[in-house]
Amino acid sequence: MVDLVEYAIRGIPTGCVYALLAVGLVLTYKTSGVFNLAYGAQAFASASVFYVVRKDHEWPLWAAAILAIVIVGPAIGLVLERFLFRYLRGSPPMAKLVTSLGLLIAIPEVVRLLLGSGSRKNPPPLWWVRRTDEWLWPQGSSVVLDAGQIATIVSTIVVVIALVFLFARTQIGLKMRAVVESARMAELYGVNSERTSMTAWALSSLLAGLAGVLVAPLFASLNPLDLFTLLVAALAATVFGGLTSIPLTFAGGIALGVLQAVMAGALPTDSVFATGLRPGLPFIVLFALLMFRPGLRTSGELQDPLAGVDPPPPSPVTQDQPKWLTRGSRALMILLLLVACWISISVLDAFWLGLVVSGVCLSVILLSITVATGLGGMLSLCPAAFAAIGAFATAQLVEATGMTVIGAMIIAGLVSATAGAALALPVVRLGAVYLALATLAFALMFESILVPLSWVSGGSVPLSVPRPLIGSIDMADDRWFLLFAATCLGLIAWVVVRLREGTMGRFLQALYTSRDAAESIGVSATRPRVMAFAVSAGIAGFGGGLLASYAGQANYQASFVYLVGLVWVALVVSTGARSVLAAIISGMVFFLLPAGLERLFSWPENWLEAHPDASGPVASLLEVITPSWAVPVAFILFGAGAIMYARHPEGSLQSQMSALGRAVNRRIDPGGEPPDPADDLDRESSADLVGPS
Amino acid sequence: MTPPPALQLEDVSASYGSFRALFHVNLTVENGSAVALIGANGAGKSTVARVASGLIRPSSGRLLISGSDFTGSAPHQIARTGVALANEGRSLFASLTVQENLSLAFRNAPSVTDPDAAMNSAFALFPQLEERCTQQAGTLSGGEQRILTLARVMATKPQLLIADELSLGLAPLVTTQVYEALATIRDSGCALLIVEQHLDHALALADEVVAIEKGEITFRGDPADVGEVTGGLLLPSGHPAAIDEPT
Amino acid sequence: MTLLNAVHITKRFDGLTALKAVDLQVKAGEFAAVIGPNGAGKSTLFNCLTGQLTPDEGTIHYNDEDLRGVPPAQRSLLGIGRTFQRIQLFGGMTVRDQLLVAIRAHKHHGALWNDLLRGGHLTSAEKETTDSTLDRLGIGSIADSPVESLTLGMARLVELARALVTQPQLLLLDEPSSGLDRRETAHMAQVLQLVCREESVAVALIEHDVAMVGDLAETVWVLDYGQLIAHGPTQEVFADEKVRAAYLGLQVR
Repeated sequence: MVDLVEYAIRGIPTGCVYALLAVGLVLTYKTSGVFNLAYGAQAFASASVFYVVRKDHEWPLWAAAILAIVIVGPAIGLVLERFLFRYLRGSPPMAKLVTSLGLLIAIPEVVRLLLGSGSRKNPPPLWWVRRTDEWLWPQGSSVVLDAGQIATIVSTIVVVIALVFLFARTQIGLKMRAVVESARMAELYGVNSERTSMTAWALSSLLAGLAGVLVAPLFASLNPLDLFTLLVAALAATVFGGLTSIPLTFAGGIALGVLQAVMAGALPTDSVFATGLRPGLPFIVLFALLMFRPGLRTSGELQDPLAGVDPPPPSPVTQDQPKWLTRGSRALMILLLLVACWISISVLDAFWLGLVVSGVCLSVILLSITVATGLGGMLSLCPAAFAAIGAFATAQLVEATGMTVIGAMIIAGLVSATAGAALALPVVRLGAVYLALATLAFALMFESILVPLSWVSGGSVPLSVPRPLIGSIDMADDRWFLLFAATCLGLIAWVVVRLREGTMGRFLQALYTSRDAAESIGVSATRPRVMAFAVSAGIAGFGGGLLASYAGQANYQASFVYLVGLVWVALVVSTGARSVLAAIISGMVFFLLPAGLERLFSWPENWLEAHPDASGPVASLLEVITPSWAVPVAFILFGAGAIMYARHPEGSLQSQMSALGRAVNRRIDPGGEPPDPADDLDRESSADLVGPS
Repeated sequence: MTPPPALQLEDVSASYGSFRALFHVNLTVENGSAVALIGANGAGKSTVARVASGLIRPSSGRLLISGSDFTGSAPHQIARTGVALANEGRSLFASLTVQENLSLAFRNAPSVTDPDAAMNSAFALFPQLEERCTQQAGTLSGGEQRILTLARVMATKPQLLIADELSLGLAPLVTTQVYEALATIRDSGCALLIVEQHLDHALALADEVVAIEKGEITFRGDPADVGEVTGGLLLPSGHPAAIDEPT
Repeated sequence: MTLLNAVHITKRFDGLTALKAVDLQVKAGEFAAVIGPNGAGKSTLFNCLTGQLTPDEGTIHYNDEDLRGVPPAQRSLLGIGRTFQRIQLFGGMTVRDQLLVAIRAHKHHGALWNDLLRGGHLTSAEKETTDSTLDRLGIGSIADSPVESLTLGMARLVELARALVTQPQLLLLDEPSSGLDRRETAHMAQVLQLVCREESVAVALIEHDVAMVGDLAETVWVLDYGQLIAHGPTQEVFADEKVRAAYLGLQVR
């Protein structure tokens, strides 16, 4: 019993870390209505600045802290508010979420470009002692807190008290709450909503900076992935607080830390519970809270009573292009893909051919996003988990039963589809944002609990997967494998198009654009969405098997880490969530763009080598550019696509097509009469004919 | 010299995205007078109210408040000159308490010098609000919400009050109460722009009536003349008064 | 025969009681109207009947079947259709597609396998059904227009057509004339009369247009502040002093 109390006390510092991150998220949500996934990336930016000035330039502690927390943190927030989120106020929650997803991907890469991409070991602490164990309290007791833990606890408590006071007692807190409910009405009350919202962003970003700098020393090296995973863990506390209550969020964070510590102490260290369950606990709690916390479905959906002032938003699923263009572009697309296939086989060298094959395999996986998000309107953040399930299942099936690889891939697809259906049953009832969070929690549960198990992933050494063999054709030759993969891609693309244009596609779109109306005519609110989710998971699983077969192994760390899945989602959604072509382009771009950029960025180096006597501003400019820029720049571009999502919810590809269609129409029919204003007036209220999405 | 009118719209056109809602509207509300703006559903009445309060920027034309040009100004700048908008439906913050709603308004209105005194006078006028001062405004009944809106507006002593369909959906008894309050506001020297579909109360209060149809002003004149020019345009179909008139 | 029997329906939202023990009975083929000021709880009552909301107390029987726990989609399959006060059409689809979704939802075949094996194309039988339904409402010409291009009046008719194509026994109409001009309102009234008389569909109508209610409805139910204050044959209710004070009084000088 005494032991348990001791363990519990040990959990308090961790709990404070959760609470600090969670409270910051609540603050952003309360003051801007944005569920800011990029919060972890902002924390990373401040922590990196702190690292560079404190360790590399040896600034004094106070100066480094002021720069990183008080200046850089709020500055990032102000930039985000001024150039991005101000224009998203009326956007649906899902658009805001995709935007923050793009930022989550782009910000760490921007930091790497600006501050250098070398690894940063042993992040410096935010206190005056050099080592954490130099200063301990209470000394001599069985439970001691070191300086870092004390700093975290004190900061968290101060922050929580200050925020509670801010919202309950101060005018600025009152203004923030008013602006987030309705910026327009706050304006009518005489409140300057733009200034209020900038203050709110600056404040929440300051907290992100503080959290980043405080938390960084917990890890061996500074890494955005660690911070983001910690943030997702803290989400459990955020959801516990209902996204609005700061005291409840604080309590949730502490409870989570204590629970984790008690489990660590009380459970045998070598059991499954200790290795998998303890790190996975926050994600299990998050998932469970999303399923069972009452009132989440309706909270945070206060309608702006003055929303009628906005012009109607573009429908995310409308296809604003003439039919012949659709047909023509489809024929052209197939022709182009065939030509591309032929060129790849006959012209490309092994390196580029390899990338193209990987791209085709990934395109299959990305079509799963087309089904779930494009057709089903569900922002599922765990495509990589289902791909990994497929890859593992393929490997295990081949090894255990000795069946053919192709057969194993198909069964793996079914396994993954079953898992998808099981996840979908509880999840599809949630609103857009909570569904996204639940799938994210699932991805992390999978990663922290199942992936380490040897019966799933084969343990620390990746399972090997052979290439398929059809008759005498050995797919060990990349060219044959490309043909095989392209055939699979074609078949699955055909399935997706059939679903999109058939009854399923119509049911899903009806549910997405007006759920109440769809139910009122007999469309079940769950069945089509569960089916779409299962089909999507099945496609991802099959694609995962394909990718693993090409790579020769089912390597989780190399191919299926959850963060990679988020990049896939960002890519597909920003290129065009409903379009098959967009998924294929995204798959190709994911592999070809970084490689292409690397070639591009290595050109200056080569040129300088060939001209050793070159000097002047041009030469020094060229010296700066290195091939190591390739990956950051590629990921910044991927992120930028998602950031623009709110403006083009139909995707960049579709918006280009629509523009083309309109241009051609104008050419054909230049004498189109300007619309009669009286006709327009009849439509005054038809602007919102289409139900809320 | 007479002071400039409280509100002037000069040749204002406005649109929602590609949809055009107002065409070259001219409208003047003199200091201390009451103008009733009437018209059918979707005629553009509410758009006029939104342009006048700055929620919508006119695509052409000018917005003058007490003689100064406020075209394109932010709504809070217009609000701080003493223009208040009370609109149909929810005109308050549902997630804030009654007291917080009032406090937010009083501390951001330059005309209120002593927010606490304003709060007390609001509670004195409408005692039922004091009973509910810690209740979230969103949980008040429709009539109570309308009263909270009026209490807020009355205590901030605006120069001009734009009342956008305040009677919509209220029980007759509450409507009468709302219009009594509007009369009190007018008597304190505040100019009124009353946007209404139901004419009875609005006509009784107004000095001038302006009718709008399909985004254009079609009639302006004395309230007494209205009966002759209705033509079925001002009244919603099915209104008993509209049934009698010949078509 | 009583088709729909709702007894003592009570619904609360966060301390606000929207409905207090409200009853509503609709007989087969009957035309009933529910009237009352905004905020009286009319739409809340409809949402309880269709299953969008779950009442806190009270029972709803349809054809003597208890509807407790029956999801909204299932109620549609049982024969309850509805339209919405704030129009709810499916975005990005044509008018015909709206009806097609309804037809296919009622056939409830395995959508997934049918799509894969046969494709989800429009069959000639479906084309015939949609055409005849739209023609009956006088909007056959817009069958292949996207819904985004419709006027409000057209959109209300499309919503009605979408509900009718499922061949309901009971139709719940939430302010079908709201936002329509007089010509459109007259057309809507004509269509509703046709539907109710010729196809013997029972109708429950929420409506502010007193003249329209007087013309169409056989019985009237009056709600005020979440309570049923009167019900009965239309003319009797309209003569009732209490009703005139609470509702009609607003419009009778």
